[in-house]
Formats: sequence, C-alpha cells, structure tokens
Amino acid sequence: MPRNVLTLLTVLLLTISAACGGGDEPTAGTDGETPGAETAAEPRSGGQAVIGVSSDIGGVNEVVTPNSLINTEILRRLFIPLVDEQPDFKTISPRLAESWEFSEDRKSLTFHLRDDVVWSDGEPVTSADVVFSYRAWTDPDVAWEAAYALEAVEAVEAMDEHTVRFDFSRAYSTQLLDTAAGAVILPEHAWGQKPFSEWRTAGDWFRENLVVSGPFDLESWTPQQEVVLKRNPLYYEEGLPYLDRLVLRVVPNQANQLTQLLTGDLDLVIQLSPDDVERVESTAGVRIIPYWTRGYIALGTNQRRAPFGAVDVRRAITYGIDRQTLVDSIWGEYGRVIASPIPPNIWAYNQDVEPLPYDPDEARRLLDEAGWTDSDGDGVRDKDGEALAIDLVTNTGNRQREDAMVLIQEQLGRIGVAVTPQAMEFNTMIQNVMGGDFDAVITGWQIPTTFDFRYAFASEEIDGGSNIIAYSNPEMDQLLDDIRSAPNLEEAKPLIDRLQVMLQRDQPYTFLWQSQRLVGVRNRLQGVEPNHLFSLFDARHWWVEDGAE
Amino acid sequence: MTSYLLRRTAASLVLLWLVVSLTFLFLHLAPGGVSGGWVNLDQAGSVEQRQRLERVYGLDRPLAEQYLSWLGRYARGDLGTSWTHGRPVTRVIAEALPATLLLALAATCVELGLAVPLGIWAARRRGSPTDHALRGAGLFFFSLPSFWFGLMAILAFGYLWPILPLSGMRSVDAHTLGPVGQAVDVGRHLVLPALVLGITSAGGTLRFARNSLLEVLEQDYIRTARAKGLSEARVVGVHGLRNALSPLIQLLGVNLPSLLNGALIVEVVFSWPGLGQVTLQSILTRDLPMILGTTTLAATLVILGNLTADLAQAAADPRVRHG
Repeated sequence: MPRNVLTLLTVLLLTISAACGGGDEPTAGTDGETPGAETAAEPRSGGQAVIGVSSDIGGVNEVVTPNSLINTEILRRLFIPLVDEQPDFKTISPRLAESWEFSEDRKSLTFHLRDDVVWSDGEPVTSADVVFSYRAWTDPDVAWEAAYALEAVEAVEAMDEHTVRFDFSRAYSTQLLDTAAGAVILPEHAWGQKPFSEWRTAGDWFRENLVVSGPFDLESWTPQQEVVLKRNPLYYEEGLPYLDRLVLRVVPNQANQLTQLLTGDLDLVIQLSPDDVERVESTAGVRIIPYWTRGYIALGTNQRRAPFGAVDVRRAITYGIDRQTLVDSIWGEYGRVIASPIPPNIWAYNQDVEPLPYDPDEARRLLDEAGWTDSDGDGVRDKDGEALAIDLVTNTGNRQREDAMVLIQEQLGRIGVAVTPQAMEFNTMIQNVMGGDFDAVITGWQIPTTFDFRYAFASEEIDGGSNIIAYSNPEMDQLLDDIRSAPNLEEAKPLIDRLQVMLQRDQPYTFLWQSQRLVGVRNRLQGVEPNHLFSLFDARHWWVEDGAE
Repeated sequence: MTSYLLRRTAASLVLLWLVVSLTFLFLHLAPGGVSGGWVNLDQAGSVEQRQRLERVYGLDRPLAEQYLSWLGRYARGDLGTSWTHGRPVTRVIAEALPATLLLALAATCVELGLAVPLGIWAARRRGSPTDHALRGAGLFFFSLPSFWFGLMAILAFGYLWPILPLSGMRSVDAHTLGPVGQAVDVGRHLVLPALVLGITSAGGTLRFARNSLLEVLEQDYIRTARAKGLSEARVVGVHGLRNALSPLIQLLGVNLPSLLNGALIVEVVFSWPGLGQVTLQSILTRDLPMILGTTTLAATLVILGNLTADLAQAAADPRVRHG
C-alpha cells in the first residue's frame, strides 16, 4: 500500500516537472509589450527598471571592496572616472576630464576637468579630488587591488582647481588608460576625513558619508535583498539618466532569475545559460542580447616538465584536440575556437592567424619525430621508458571546463597521449599551479585592454608571476617590452600582430575557446547595450517605454 | 542542581572553544591557506597584492600569534570586521538573523501543524491503509532533498500556476505599501520556503509523533482511563497526547540545528535573505571573519540547544543530575 502512494506521488511530481519542461508555449504579452526587439522610438524619461543580480554589493567604496562583477558594475553608476574606455578598447571618451594632453617627452599627462561637475551635496568636483583619489589608490593600507597599474606614476599635482598633472617615470603605451579609466574619482571633502589605515573597516561609514558624481545616487540598500539607485538630480549631463530608479534585486539562484525575467518581475538578467535560450525566445516580450566577453579559456602545459618544453609536443597537443567539437558540444552557437588571447571581437586581432586545425595525423607525426612512440604497445606513447601521460587539472564547480577535460582525455587518447582529468578546489589548484606542481591546467583568462601580456608570457614572470606554464622565449620577452613602450596602442599594432604569430608558432597554451554572455532583457526596457566592459554599460541611456506617465 | 548546571555549562564552553578553534585552524591550514583565493592570475602584480592584503589583515604574522589575538578578541565578544563588507561581522549577522528565524519559526509551525494531527490520525488507525499511506508519505517527504522540492515548488507555483512570489522577502514595490500591506507581502514570500522546509521536516516528525503516541496508548494508565469510561477523544487527546508530546518537544530542541541547516539550503533556493545567504557568500568570497562568525553562531545554537534540553531533562528527572 505505501508503495502505491509513493508511486502515485512520484508520478505526480514527474508530471509536474515534465509539464514545466514542456511549458514553452509563448505566453501572451501580459503587460502589453511590443514584440519587436528594438523600437525606434525616442527615449523617454521616468520609470524604473529592475535588474536581477546574483550577489549583493560589498560596499560603496570601489578601492576597498573586492572587485566582483556586481560591485564594479554598480559603483560605476555612482562615480565617474576621468575618461571612459569604450567597448572597442580603442576609443577613449571624455568624462570628468574634458580634454588631456601629453608633454613632449610623454612623461607628463595633464587633464583639464569639466567645471560643471558637482558631488551630490553640491560641492564641485575638482583636481583636489583627483589628487586625493590617487593617494587612496596607491596607499599601502588601502591596498587597492589594481594599484600595480600606477607603478610608473611618480607624482600627481593639482595645477589649479580644474587642471591636474600626472608625472611618469617613463613613457609607455597605456598611460592614459591606466591613470584615467581604471578607477573612479573619490570625494575628498566627504571621505578625506577617514585615515587610510581605517578604510578597510569603514564600510558603514562610507555609506553614511556617501556623495556621488555619477548619474545615479544610492536611495536604499537592504543587505542581501536589494540595492535601489535613484536619479542624481545634480548629474552634469543634461536630461540624463532617463530612468528615475534602477533597482538591483539580489537573486542568487539562476533558475529564479530566469523565471522572474519571464514573469516580468525582472527587466534584465545579466547572465543566462545557453540552456535557457529556448525558453526565453519562446516567451513574448523578452529578448536576448548576446555579446562576446573578454574572457577565454586555455589549456597550458607545464614547460618545466620534460615533454612540454618542446614546441613540437605542444603543437601536437593542439593538433590532437578537436576544439570545434568541444565548442559545439559545450556552447553550441555561443562559443568559438580561438587562436590566441586576442579573439576576433578585439580590434587588435590579427586576421592572418587562424586557429590550428584539428589534425590527429599531424599530431602523431610530430610526436613520432620528437621520439615519443608507443614502444611497448600499450596504446600510450613513451620515450626513454617514460610514458606520455598528463594529469590535467581545472577548478571544481565549472561544468564547461570539467566537460572539456573529459572530451580532451578521449581525443588525446586517440593520438597515444594518456590524460587523467582532475577537478580541484580552487585554492588548492592555485597553490599547485603557482608552485609549478602540475602537468597541464585549464584556466580562464581575461584579455587585458592594455595588451600588456608580460604578466602571462614574460620569462621574469615565471617566479611569482602569472607565467604559470614557465614559457620562456627571449624573442617574446623583447616583443612584450616593445609593445609596452610603444607611444600608443595604434603604433603597437604591428607588434601585437607579431605577438599573435609567435603564440601561434610556439603554442605555449592551447587556446581553447571564447564564449558569449547572454543578457536577457524585457522589451519595455530600451537602450540597453551590454558589452565586454560592462553589462550595465551606459545605464544612464536606458529608458522604459512606459516611463513618462 | 547548581553544580550540575555549572558542570554542564563549563563543558559547553569548552566544546564551543574547541569548535571555533578547530574552524580557525582548518581554515588556515587548508591548501592555499586563507589568502590562496586572492591570487588572481589575470592581474599583474597579483602576488604582491596578496602580500599587501596579508599585511593589512595581519595574516603575515605567526599563526600562534594570530590565533591568540583572535581568541582574545572573540572572548571579549569582538567577532571582527568582514573582509568583503568592511563592516562588523556581528552587524552583518544581526541583519540576516531575523529572516532566518522567521523562516525557521514558520517552518516549525507547518511541521507541527502537519505532523501532529496526521501522526495522531495514523496512530488511531494503526495498521490500516491510512496508517500505511501516511507513514509512506512521511518517509517520502523525509527523504526528499529540500533543494529539489524547492525547485519543483518554484516551477509549480511560479510558472505553471503563478500565484506566489518565488524569491526574496519583499516585492519591488513593497515600500509603497502600508505596514499591513508590507506584512502581507512578506507573508506571501514566506509561504513557499516555509512550506518546503516544513513539509520536508514534517515527514520524520510525523513518524515520531505516531510512534510516540502508540507507545503511550499501550500504557496502563490509558487502559485505566478507558476503563473509567472516558470518551476516546479524551483518552487520546488529553491523557495520551500530553504524554506523547513531551518527547516530541525534546526532539524539536535537538532538531534545531538540522532545521537551521535545512533553512540554509531553502534560503539559497528561494533567495531568502537570511544567514544561509550570508554563509554561502562568505564561503564563496573566502571572507574568513564572516565564516568564523557564522560557524560560531551555528555552534553556539547547537550547544545551547543541547544544554537546554539536558537541563530541562535534569530538572524533570533527578536521576540525571545525580547520575
């Protein structure tokens, strides 16, 4: 008898879940939304938009809160930097600074600030705020995590109320980006009263003494629940932002985010999974905006260890991995194979460098030539009595990478390379990888907008830096230095092209794939242009169709 | 009784010290240490940054020194400052605790409201198909993983039959409502998580209530009550139930940790802004003071729960306190 009840309940629950899985029928637009994705209508002022975020913000002061996606996204709506980096990684547009110029030797950079920008308490934003911000960025007690980018800055001086000069110890390609786009300007009159040594324990104090310069101000913040931003009436750009309020709801569960987007509780969800696309596309009033991110995934082999120091063995590994199949089975149409850390959506991409093809025969030939043959007939190649076996690690909790490991194990097995996949807790993996104790690792990286790749590929970064694979090539070292010391990135382009050719030749990593991020948006919310800099990029230009009421 | 109370309290304090000390030690001795997660391969100068932060947070000092100064501050009730929020740990916990307590309380009401009447019903019809069905259902819900049950509830009530809010504790427009409206709003948000947590806990309690009542109903005094000619409702409801309930209440005390545990999982599923979220986030961000704070709170609750149960039992049963 109990078994019958159990069966009945199980059937019931299965029916519910099946019905839910099949519940893809388009629901009628409940709030009278227009089905078209983008309407050509004029932006309207007013209204509010609700965004789902997966975690709460850590605080309102960017330099002492860990650099999580959400923190940066939100704090960049409250404070403005000197200049804005644009998603093409190339254009730099004025923000607090309306113009700037270099000295003849390029060792001085002078910014001219707008004179109409005020903090939300009415105080003007001046060069004193810039000097104060620089002191905060570089203070050892503040320990801001991007302080390294300012190591070449020797002094920052306020020339007058709206002119400020940065002096550098040397000229290099990204002085402007590093000093002006990397961080926001902080309010000296409000936050200067707190000694830097107390900044890391002053989360509440910063919030109580918050003044902003950006398009939005903080209306309320309920920890773990929601952050409400309201229009900053003193914001300097006339008529902006369009929205009265921007509500950020903390919804940690991804499935919940999706459901609330579909039901209309949320207007925007920053990150959907490719599995959700069908449900979103079949629901009226919701659209998906995909964009290529700055991230990419690569497989690196430890070149301190015998087989991987040889270029031919590394090339064989790349030839032996069917990357297109990996991408197809893991990402479908939302991923692509890449040839280098500079993917096609980045302006500095070298079009002449194609990813090496999947060519197991070439892989076998290269390994044979390098002396790795299956002499004992056990299916695994060997040389001098040592088998060509790789322990391949990645961090736990990342399904795509774990799936990739299994596929790679199978593919490399076909060319006689034995792979043992192992997922490791992140801390442990970092410990092993930084200590050089690994065969091969799959890691995720972000393309630096400065194109300064020394941290990853320079010989001097092998010990204690991010050159975890111990790739060492004097020619590469020189090239990396040359890119860094070019007067600007435009002129560095031929060098960046060569960098890609060399990486293609040496295969220090097998660059695996790049994927898209999928932003889900309800159609009532317009003007949304997420990109690899920010999902909330340009939120001051967002508007809602039902805004002006 | 006083010496027993002192003995038990002292033992509880030692236990608490052991738990928090071991947590402290394990977090420091784990591979990669406390600061391993701060290394960001993607950022140049990441290793130097890690050293800077280690100095700011005092992690560069010898472990014994760190432990002693930490223990000293803990003994004075100073749980430190969260690394991710830059705010006192006690304040972050204090903000999250009410939501968890509200959820746990509502879930306990659901649990008892279901388990006790159904348990009585099953006991009254011992061996009948109803009894078997109820015990089967009890076992089923007891075995049901609460996160899965929660997701199913979300699908059912958020998608197929969208009548209840699915996540969070308040609606977006809650601030526009009056006090009554706000209470109703929170209540609506509470329904699903409380039901999921209550029902999954009710399974075991139902079986316990049934067995406990059956045991009592076989006692001599029940036979006496029946022999006196009392009505069946009075025999079961007054003489039986009162005695069957006391072990049940004790069970609730002992179950407090598992209820809080369950609440943590349910909180994550329903984005309920309680301690579960705070704990999960602090683990994800490797915020050591927060992890230690939430662990200490959980350990204190468990130890207090057990201590209270022991003391209550001792008060009731002289054999325990003199044993």
